[in-house]
Amino acid sequence: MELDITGAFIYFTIPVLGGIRVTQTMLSTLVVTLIICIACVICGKDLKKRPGGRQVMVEKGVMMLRKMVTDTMGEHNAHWTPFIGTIFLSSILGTYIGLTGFLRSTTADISCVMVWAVMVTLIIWYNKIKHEGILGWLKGFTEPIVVMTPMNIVSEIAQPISMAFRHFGNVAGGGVITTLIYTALTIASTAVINLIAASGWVIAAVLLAVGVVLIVLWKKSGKKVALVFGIISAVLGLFGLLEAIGILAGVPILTYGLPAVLSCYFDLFSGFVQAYVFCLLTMVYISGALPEPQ
Amino acid sequence: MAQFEAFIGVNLWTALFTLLNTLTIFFVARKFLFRPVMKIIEDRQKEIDGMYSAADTAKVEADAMRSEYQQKLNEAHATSDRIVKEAVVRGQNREEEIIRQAHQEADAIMTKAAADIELERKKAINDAKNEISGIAIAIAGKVVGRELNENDQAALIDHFINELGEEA
Repeated sequence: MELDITGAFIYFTIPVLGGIRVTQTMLSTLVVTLIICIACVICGKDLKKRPGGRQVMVEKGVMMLRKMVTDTMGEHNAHWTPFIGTIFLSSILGTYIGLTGFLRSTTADISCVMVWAVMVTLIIWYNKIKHEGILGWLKGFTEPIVVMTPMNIVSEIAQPISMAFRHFGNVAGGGVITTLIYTALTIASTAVINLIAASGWVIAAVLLAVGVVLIVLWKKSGKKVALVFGIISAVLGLFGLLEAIGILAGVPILTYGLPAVLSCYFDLFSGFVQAYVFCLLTMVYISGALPEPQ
Repeated sequence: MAQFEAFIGVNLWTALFTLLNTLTIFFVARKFLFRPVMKIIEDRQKEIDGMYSAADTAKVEADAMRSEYQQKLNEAHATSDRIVKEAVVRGQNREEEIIRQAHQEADAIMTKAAADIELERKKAINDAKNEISGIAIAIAGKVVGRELNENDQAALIDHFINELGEEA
């Protein structure tokens, strides 16, 4: 069994300007953009002073984003909410769109998150130059002492890279781990069923029988242990038997259950946390570059 | 043969595409979601603030009016009390006057009655005197058998009766 860890699938290459590679990430990004834009238009429509159920939800969501921004950046920076909200929504939906199976998470592509990180860096530089002047900004690199200048420059460049790779690494890593687990469990289940089948259909039939007996026992006595072992034994026996007879070969039965649990962590939880962390860092960096209110 | 990107690699076209999409989302979200929602929330906040201040003003006005009415009510109570007291005093005066008049009238009647009685008594006494003196003269005439000077005798008898009356 071969396992390739690759980037986004390339649908086709447009043969202009040295070849524009149209990838899965582009499609995912397009889908994410369309979903968010349509959702925004629908949510922002027909707003009334006496809100209905939908509007209450929308207002709650917007106010949560606004609160997230003002808690970190201060009340005077509330106008950054749309930008932070854009990054947050794009990030979280870009990660979750990978759950569909045929679209790849946009955030699992370094090209995508790197753009956001570079955008943040450019915003920071723009604001620093705007408020301190270009000389003041350059002078900032020599502080607190001149010797620190190289390190300051490195840290300035490292900042977007670290931001991008943190997000990319978590999402892509989660995807890799899920792939690895699927592969490993498929191999393991093939091995187990082959082992049972190779032992002869009698063994498989015995396993099936034992499983059925245990399930019946659970029905009578109510012991959960009997049920669990009964189901495992019966399923193994059933698939072993089918394999021995020669139909339904190679069903990866062990891939049921465990990957779903792990996916909850690696895709759902990690996706949310990374979106939040990315936005939090964005807000901290940007508010650091903005002057205090008078 | 399916082609894939490198696992870690920057595709500038993907990056550009992402940038455009992010900007699109930003402008659409700002125009269609964040600004309208924030506007409606602020409008509502203003309206609520307005309502509260209006309610406060109305409350202050109502308090002022209430105290004013209370004051007027108190004044009215005082006025009515005064009127009642005056009426009572006037009534009492009138009552006393009426009683006094009644007493006076009664006294007058009593005095007049006493005078009448006295007059009647005197008249009766005079009548009786005259009668008695007549009888006495007649008796004395019979007893003496001779005719007296009627005037002298009458004076004598009156004197006599008067003495009797005083003794009685």
